[in-house]
Amino acid sequence: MSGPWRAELGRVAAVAWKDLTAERRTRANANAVLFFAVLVLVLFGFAFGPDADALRVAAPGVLWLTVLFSGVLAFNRSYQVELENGAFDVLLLYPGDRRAIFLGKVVANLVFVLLIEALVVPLAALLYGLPLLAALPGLAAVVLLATLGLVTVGTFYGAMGEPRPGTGSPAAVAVVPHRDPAPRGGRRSDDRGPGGRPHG
Amino acid sequence: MGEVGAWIRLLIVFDVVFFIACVLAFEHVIEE
Repeated sequence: MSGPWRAELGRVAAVAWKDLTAERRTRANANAVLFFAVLVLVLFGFAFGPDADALRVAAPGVLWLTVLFSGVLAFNRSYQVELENGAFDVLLLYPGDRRAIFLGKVVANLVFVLLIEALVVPLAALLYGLPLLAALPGLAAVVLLATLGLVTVGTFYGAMGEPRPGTGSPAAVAVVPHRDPAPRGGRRSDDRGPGGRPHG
Repeated sequence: MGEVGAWIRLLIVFDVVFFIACVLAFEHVIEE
């Protein structure tokens, strides 16, 4: 690998490591997002009632809504922490391509959302009575790909709109309609109705 | 596996397109 590419990869790794280290030390984002994800899963469970079949049919959609909403919270937070004390301006002054900042944030957000999913997916399988082990190979591939797309677009929209400290960025509004194929693909690929018939 | 495979292919294409678009557009977005 040539020198410039290695230097860019080093910058990407440095930005990702910075974000992950800040998150590991404060755990402010992780606590909020994890609590929110569990709350959404439980509340949807209450909303659908005790019917086990209805819960199983609704589970893929609920799971992806949970991941989507939790991810949007995480993307907003990843830029808000940079805006405190003008840290993002300092980050922009570092030498090198600015795309490394974006790629580093994508990597950090991807790791963060995958960790959240590692807890949320088994919990959803437990609460909604899903056969997790049988669907695991296909589900793992779909979760990984859908999460990569969600994180890419979410991180991009998180940088838009000049968000200020203490306020929400427009990512929550912007990501959901643009990112529909990822949760839709995730939902449809592991969703089977009664009798094995896919839902339309 | 057929439907899962089809969605995986679609997600791969979607991810590649959006990844390239977002990386290329990021610099313009933060300049504004």
